[in-house]
Amino acid sequence: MARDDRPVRLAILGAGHIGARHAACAAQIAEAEIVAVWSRTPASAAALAAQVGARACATLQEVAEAPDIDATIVCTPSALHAEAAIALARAGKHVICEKPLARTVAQAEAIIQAAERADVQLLVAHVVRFFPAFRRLYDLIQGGAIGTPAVIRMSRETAGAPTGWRADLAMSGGALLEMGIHDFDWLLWACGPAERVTCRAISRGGQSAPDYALTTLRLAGGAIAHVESSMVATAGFRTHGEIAGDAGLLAYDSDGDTALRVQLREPGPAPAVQLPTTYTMDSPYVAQLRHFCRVIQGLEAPLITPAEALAALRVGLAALASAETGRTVSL
Amino acid sequence: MRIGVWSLAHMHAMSYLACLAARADVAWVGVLDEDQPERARPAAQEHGLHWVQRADELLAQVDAVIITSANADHARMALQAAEAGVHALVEKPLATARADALAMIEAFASRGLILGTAFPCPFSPAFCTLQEQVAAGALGEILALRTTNRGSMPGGFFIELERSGGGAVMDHSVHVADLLRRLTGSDPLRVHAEIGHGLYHQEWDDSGLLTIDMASGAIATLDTSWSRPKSYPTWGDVTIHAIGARGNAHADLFGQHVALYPGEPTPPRWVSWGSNLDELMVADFLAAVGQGRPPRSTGRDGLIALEVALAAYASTRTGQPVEIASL
Repeated sequence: MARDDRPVRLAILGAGHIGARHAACAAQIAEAEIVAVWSRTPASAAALAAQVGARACATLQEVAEAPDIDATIVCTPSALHAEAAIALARAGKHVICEKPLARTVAQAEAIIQAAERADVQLLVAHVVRFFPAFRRLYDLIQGGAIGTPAVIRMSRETAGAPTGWRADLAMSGGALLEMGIHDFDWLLWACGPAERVTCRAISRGGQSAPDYALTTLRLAGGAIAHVESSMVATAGFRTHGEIAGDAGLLAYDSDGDTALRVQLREPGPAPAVQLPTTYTMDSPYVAQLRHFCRVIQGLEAPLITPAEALAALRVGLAALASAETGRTVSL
Repeated sequence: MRIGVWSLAHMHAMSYLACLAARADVAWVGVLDEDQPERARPAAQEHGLHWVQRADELLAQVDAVIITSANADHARMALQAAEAGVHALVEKPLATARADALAMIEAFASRGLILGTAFPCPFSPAFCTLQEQVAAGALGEILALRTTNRGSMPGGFFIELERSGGGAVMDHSVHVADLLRRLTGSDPLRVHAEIGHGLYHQEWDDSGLLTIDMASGAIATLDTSWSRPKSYPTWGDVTIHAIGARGNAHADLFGQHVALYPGEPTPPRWVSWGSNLDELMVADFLAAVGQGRPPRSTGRDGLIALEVALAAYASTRTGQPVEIASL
């Protein structure tokens, strides 16, 4: 691909909380420029567009046909990623897509095929790879710090049961595809492919999508792993876990290793969707967007391949299937 | 009361000896180790107790024994104790085979003798408080339990399969299996396990992740791995993260400690200040014998916990969850 260091002109598709987050990140880096916003809800598109100094588009087709758009960030509900991603890829736009890549394997494969045929980049926002702690863990493992991983435990807990489309199993997949997908991706990236999955899940809030899940995996190399995906915590956002290898143990806990705690006497209402904060110079979201733009500019090789995003999705879907049937699911 | 400690194969024996030596209501304590008889002499001397060299000699002199042999020897020794009319507190797991556990329960029950399983965790003040709060409905219905009983690889008979009956899963699934029953007020229905050998690369399992469906409807997972390396600041843990309909709770039964950073280039250590659960368990067993009432953990409690471990191993043969009832 030709190298081109002009800013990547982006359209944000979906004006919810993560769309707004990407827009805020784009404002911080020279590599990105938000030129358009589209949403299923025109008022949301107009509001976010006004906020970031971009124009609101009325239809996906308008985005697809706009000559001043290089790439899109797909931030629609998971089950609707395919519709937007395929349309934009076919129009020759690079696709940055929120995780999970799609709600089903068929949708994901269709997106991947459309991007390949159009020869555009397909970059899936598995942002955990850009979190410094998780990157450090990955690097330590690759460097042999604990030998070969044997038992991995990962927990991701947030307050705020899923609402809106996230509460809808068919649209989102709940705790497993919203939260678990992050850890599944990191696990496969750092420790290798999964062989089989056993999962139990509940919906404490009564919505169709699970809000708490316990997943056990066997990896192809013989390691075993446990992933807790919780949207039923009572406060905040916490990731914690450990990787036990045959020559040592790595442990992490966002509660213990934060550089800043602020406690207000009168805290305001908690946000509907909580995002973790790292107190590092680049937020992981900024680092991710810069990387994606530089991939599109031809300056960097992608850190995340579409096949990897599909593999993480397969694990998440296997977990959902196991939770549904009580059986262990082979991949 | 006159008590025997039978075998020093299990490291918990030393703790029980200390507990017994400190009790005013225990008039005489005999220590016997059939594997290495000489090993029992210094252990007895250290606590001012009596060194015994033969099982029949021990059983003839005591009201009760604490059996701390290798797992596979529990049944033979317990049956011998019952035969001699002696009550027994048996180290966990109660036995290594279901038929053995059933025979033990029958042997003691038919003679009106007390059989206890050595589960100290139900005496943890934190666990007792959690159990009370759950029973009072403070958390609402218990829906999910994420638990761990991680430890260090213990060596000794624990890694001789014919004496231990299994590795990490046999060693560490029974404690929490028992706690799950107490918290949910129900028995385990089915068990799935991923069992690993990746920490030590031996024929014995060094790690396990169990998925347990409780009859109450609660879902649970349990990490039984020997995943604490030599440099870890403590031996391991027992933790319970409970998700209830009305709230969550996190119990770390051995979490009470101060951190010690030695002046030497050796790893930091966590020095416990929690209650001595072995002491509470031994006191309960002696009171049960004295009062002729069941101890907090009976032979049946030991059996059901053992069934969870056996089902975990059985599930690896099919790769699917195993019904406890099918054992």
